[in-house]
Amino acid sequence: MTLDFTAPGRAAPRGDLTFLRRRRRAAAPVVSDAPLDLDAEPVVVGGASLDLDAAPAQVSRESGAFDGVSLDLDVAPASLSRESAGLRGASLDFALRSALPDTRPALPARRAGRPGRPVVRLGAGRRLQLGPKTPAVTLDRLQSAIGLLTAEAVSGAAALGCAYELADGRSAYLGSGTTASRTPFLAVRRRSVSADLRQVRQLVRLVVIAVFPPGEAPPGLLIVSTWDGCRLELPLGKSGRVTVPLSVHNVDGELVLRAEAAEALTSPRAAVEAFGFPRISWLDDFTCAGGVA
Amino acid sequence: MAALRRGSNVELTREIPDLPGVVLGVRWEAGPEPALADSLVMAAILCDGARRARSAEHFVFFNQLTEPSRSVALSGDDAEQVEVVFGAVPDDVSRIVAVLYANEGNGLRRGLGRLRTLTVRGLDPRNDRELVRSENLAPALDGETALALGEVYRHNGGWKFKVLGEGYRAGIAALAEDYGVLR
Repeated sequence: MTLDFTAPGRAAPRGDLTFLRRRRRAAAPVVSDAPLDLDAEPVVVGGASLDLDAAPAQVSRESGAFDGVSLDLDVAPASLSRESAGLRGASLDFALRSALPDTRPALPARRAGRPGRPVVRLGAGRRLQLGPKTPAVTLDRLQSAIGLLTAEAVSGAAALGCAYELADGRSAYLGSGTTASRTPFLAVRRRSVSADLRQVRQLVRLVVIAVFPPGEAPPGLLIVSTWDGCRLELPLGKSGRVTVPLSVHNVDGELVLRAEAAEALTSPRAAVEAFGFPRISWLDDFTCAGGVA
Repeated sequence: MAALRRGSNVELTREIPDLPGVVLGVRWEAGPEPALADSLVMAAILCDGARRARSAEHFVFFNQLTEPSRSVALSGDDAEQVEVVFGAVPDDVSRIVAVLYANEGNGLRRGLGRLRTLTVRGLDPRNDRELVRSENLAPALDGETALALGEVYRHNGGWKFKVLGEGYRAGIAALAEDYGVLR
């Protein structure tokens, strides 16, 4: 494939990057001699966000309009309904009762492994340290949808928050001590962020944000745990007031957890905006205006 | 039709020889607690002769709508029914167990004993006619957060349905361990 960074509009469709959304510039058009789009999705900030191992999304009947859209993902994952989001990767046709043997649903999409960049999985009860050597792990469909996914700061002085985007396009930032919804889907306490995975079909992505107190404070460790006893460890380094240690992307019903390298950020607002949540309103750099944008 | 009690079984394909499959459905009344109803998940586990799941891919639920052979699939969007096509079930799958669990959420942990009613039933997939129905399983429950509702299994070349009603206080993790889902 030939890449022409000066003409993104002519780029070949990339059905494998289902979790990326192209952002439109508000006013000025893209400058032709500036190949890097600094407004691009936040996952680029981390340096290794593109899950190139992901198989092309198998678009369900309901979301068939997205066929071939690929990088114009303004409408893809964000606007999928709860129902169609849940069908990604399965393409059930639900006609079993009228013609039992002949209308069985298509197989779920399988990830096509790519030499040199295998999808890292984690068996039940296993431990793994995420970092430069192993930056990402993909949870299976059970790990991605049963129980709670919890990220907890077990040492250091950081308080946790998170920004998230839902399948209906809404996004919000949650600081310590707030909950997101009636269920509630997400709960953020001072030292932990937890997601109720019964609602995982609503989730497109979230990023965990660590805020350190002013002055000297020791770095720490972030532990991510799943219902089946898996444990991921990530360093909570401190080279600034705010860091983003972890991002979570829902790719075809499987959660991809990635250690981010975004540090030296000055505020939660800077971190959230760097990761592409432009619709969230702020009272100041540390205080979200509240509500779900 | 009389409701089947726990442990009771019925020979589906002996009663209806041309039955092509069965729809396992679960019904519940949650009463005044919507949080419990919101957290409930129905699933099916395809097991071998030793009652062990063939693999994690043989756990069918809302985030894995079918399994490799496509003989068992979640039907409907409300996650209350699982459809089994007898002729497509692989030979090494001896039974399909229908389960219900309350997902551990961010709120209070609520047991299935808070449900007013809970029944599992089998339907003819051709016309949705109810073939079998369990007794109300809820009164015998307390703090259990996962339950093996019932199973369809091979018997003398045909298929039978049995009401299980076996609860797990330690939730879906204990049930998954028991059926060998966790590897």
